[in-house]
Amino acid sequence: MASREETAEETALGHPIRIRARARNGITEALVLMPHPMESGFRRTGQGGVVPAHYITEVQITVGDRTVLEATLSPAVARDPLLSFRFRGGRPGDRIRVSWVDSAGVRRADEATIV
Amino acid sequence: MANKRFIPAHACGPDSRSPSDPERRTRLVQGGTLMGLVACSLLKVPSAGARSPDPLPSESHLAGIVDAFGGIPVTGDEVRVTVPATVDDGALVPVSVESSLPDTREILIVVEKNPIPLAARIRIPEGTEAFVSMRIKVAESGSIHALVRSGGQVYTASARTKVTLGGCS
Repeated sequence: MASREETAEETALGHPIRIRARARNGITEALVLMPHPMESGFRRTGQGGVVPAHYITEVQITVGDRTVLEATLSPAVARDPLLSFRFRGGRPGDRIRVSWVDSAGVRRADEATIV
Repeated sequence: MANKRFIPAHACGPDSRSPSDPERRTRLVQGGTLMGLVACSLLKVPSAGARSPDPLPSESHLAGIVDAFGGIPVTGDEVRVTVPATVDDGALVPVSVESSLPDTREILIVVEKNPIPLAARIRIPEGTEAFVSMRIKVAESGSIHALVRSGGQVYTASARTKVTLGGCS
């Protein structure tokens, strides 16, 4: 069971952040999915060991030089964090960038175009 | 809902979350029982757990968290917390928080009965709406609180959810 969980973790970490952002009437609606195991450190393996904590700690979302959202997450955020939010401004064609860092120091950043 | 299409298959891990998977319920029940036991033991020892790089205050009670963020909580309908009244799987609970208070700069989501109650701290820059929706783990039935910082004051609101199967955080 332990080895299967490790495989799951690698799989989740290897996936790009998925970003959907749609500008309508001056408001951009964004939906961000960050594949990550978000291990709490409380979960037991079948062998009675504990799966070590490993979770995204900081998320930053920017459009150009402007930060549109920043979040600090705890392991109580569900696996593969999904964030939905809205901001004023943002035009179709603008690039939106999402970056995270996790408790192991792993970083990831991906971009998408606002439609 | 459009959201559903957006969630890739791997979002649900190696195990299929399809309701047609007959083994899943068994696995979840076994896992949930274990997690419940783990959660209970952890609740008695709030300082347990080696979470070294922790940027969030490790307060174990709502009052402590409110203190840590400064301010007397004010309850009003300006802050709205939305959670399902009942959820089957505590590992994946959708929650959204919306504030109509002017100058809302921060939203905190706190799960009353989790071993780590503070789930997320969201900073709202100028120009971003005071709204956030995300998915959290909820260990057992209880209140989900939102703390909103606006104009130097901290406001709270909460909603209750009943969890069939705890999503041990």
